[in-house]
Amino acid sequence: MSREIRKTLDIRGVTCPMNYVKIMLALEDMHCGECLEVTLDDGKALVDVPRSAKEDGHTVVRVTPMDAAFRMILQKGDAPRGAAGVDTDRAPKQDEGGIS
Amino acid sequence: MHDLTALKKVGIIQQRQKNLFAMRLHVVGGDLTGDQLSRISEVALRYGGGMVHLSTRQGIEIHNMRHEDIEPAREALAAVKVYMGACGPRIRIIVACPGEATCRWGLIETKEIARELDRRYFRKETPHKFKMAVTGCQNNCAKATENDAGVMGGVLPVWDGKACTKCDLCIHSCPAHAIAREGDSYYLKRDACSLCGICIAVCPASSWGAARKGYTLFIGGTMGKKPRLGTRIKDLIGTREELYGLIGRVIDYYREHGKPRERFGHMMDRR
Repeated sequence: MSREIRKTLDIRGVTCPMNYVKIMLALEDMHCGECLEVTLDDGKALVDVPRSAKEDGHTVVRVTPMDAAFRMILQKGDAPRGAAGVDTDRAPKQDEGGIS
Repeated sequence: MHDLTALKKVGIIQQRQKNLFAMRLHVVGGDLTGDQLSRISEVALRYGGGMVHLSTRQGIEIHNMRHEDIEPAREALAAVKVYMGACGPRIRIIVACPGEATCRWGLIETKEIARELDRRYFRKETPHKFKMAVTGCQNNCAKATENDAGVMGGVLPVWDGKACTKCDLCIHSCPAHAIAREGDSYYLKRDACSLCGICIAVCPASSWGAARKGYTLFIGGTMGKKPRLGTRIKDLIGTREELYGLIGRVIDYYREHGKPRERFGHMMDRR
């Protein structure tokens, strides 16, 4: 898959949930596999954006710290990865025994 | 003359207006059925001037009740399995967030634990009021650290390098700065880790996974005139039995060593 940066987006100062909305709009007319470079504030967005992106089937390729901000490269995926609330990535492994 | 102390035990509290009473109801983890809410509403309309009060700990109260209306109100509520609450020096209702059952961040079944704690300990006598809360994760919506005993869900992350894309997201998204990188490997600083599970949730390659989940127990939290946040005494408690056993010992200790009108946390600071 191509790793070229097709678009850049600066969402510093944009409050949740508009930050991810803008990302979704930017990704809309990109092809699967193309990358979006996002500059975003430190803080909640650094957790919320990757989590939402993961749910929607997109991949975080790299996160690089800057001065009081972060640069994140997002690769567009093809389809949403599953309904909210069903997150098999978080389930304890079978043979490790969860909490009783 | 009414026995005010006896009434307080079951959550019936004389108001500023000495002929009127507030009825505090028993709620577990903030859950009530529609039918129960309807009945509460009917009782409030009939006996309580039509008002229902939501307490700061997920409780429900009906104020401005006359003494002679308390018993009919109590019966009407008991018919839909809504019972009386608690006031005074005893264990209060258990607070809980939605938890794993419905919340995307929830790591533990908070309501199940709240129900069990309620079954074992509600209204048991203690030197002063004793409050418990169960919260599903580090976001701490149920404020485990503000209660005398607080349970918090946690998950220990583990890194599996096979699929890792070296994106560094884990390092920067960790609120405790507990993840570091050495060459092409990532590792967890266990002492710094707050067991929040954010790294697991955000990792695009699912390289960070859940090694195991567990319960963290905080004790000694209190608000009021001398606020104090709970002290973490153990994390990643592996089973509910161990958790309940620990809480039982905390309560036993309090009953043995606490002074009247002394909250658990203040007893800790004194001893």
